[in-house]
Amino acid sequence: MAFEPSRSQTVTRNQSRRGALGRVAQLNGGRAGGPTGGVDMTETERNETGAGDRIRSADGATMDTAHGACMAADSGLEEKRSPMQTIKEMIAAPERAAASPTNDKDAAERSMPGVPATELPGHLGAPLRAIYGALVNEPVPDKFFHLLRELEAKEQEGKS
Amino acid sequence: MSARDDGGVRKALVEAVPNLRAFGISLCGDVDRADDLVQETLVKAWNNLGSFQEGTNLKAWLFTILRNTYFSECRKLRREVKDSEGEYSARLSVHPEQLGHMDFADFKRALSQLSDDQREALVLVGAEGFSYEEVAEICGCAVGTVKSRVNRARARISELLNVGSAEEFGPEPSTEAVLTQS
Repeated sequence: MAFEPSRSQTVTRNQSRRGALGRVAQLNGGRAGGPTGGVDMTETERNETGAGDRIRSADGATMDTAHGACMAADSGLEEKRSPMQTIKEMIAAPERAAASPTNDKDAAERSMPGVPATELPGHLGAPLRAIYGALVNEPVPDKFFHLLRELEAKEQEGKS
Repeated sequence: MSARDDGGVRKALVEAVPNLRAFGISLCGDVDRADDLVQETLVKAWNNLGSFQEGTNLKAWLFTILRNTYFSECRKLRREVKDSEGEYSARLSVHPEQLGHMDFADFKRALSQLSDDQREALVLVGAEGFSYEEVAEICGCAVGTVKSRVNRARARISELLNVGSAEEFGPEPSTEAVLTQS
């Protein structure tokens, strides 16, 4: 699986250098991390406040989105903590997972419609979300926005 | 958001693009192909907005379209979807400076060794945060099947990584040194 996929698009130099782990380090240092701008709210807080993340196209234009949280933010990163401490906490000890009300097996059984499924154990869920989050936070090529504009324009032409 | 509000629809589709891309990459392992999938998904979604039930989960609907498009293409091309350690992994383009952590590379490698249905379920549940019910709708299977796939994926990855605790999943000293400097 290519969480580090082959790519032909140009990404920013900073993006290409940092990757998933670097993204975590950026957020931990309180610096803006990619299009999400160094979000430090949990996903729940973001949903409740209606705050949104921003996605950035390759030409630097930004668009407000409400898409899912920067995954690393869910692990409760705090400022002024060393990156390695943060990463170790992300890959949480099993005892934390066991103590958490969202123990994977039990929570799987308690899963309810519309409620996000239980988190995976920390030592699996955290790296998965970090890697996946890096993909989500990649700059979006302009072609998608152009496509949507074209579709909209064609629809308007059809109506007129 | 009402899907019948044109401005809202466009905004909703724009908002979904990053996650659609990430999911597409997780399915096919290639950015260019994933981008093609996303573009096809957007076109199909736009052309079939009439079939979308207002008030239901637009994101899940888009994911369903993308997934179905991908597997339809695979069937047409008669590709070997499951990757044991060959084609899929070979498309991995890992830049050393981006890894920063050998265990993350191991994790990615372990993910590539899952079957498509297990990896898909794991990503949708564990990374995208869909509920089991939503994933069941996206994948066109029973909720119990989704849970089973997630459990098997979790067990398989743990086995591949030989990870039983967080202490076993830590950085190389050289990587730690780099990170503490950043």
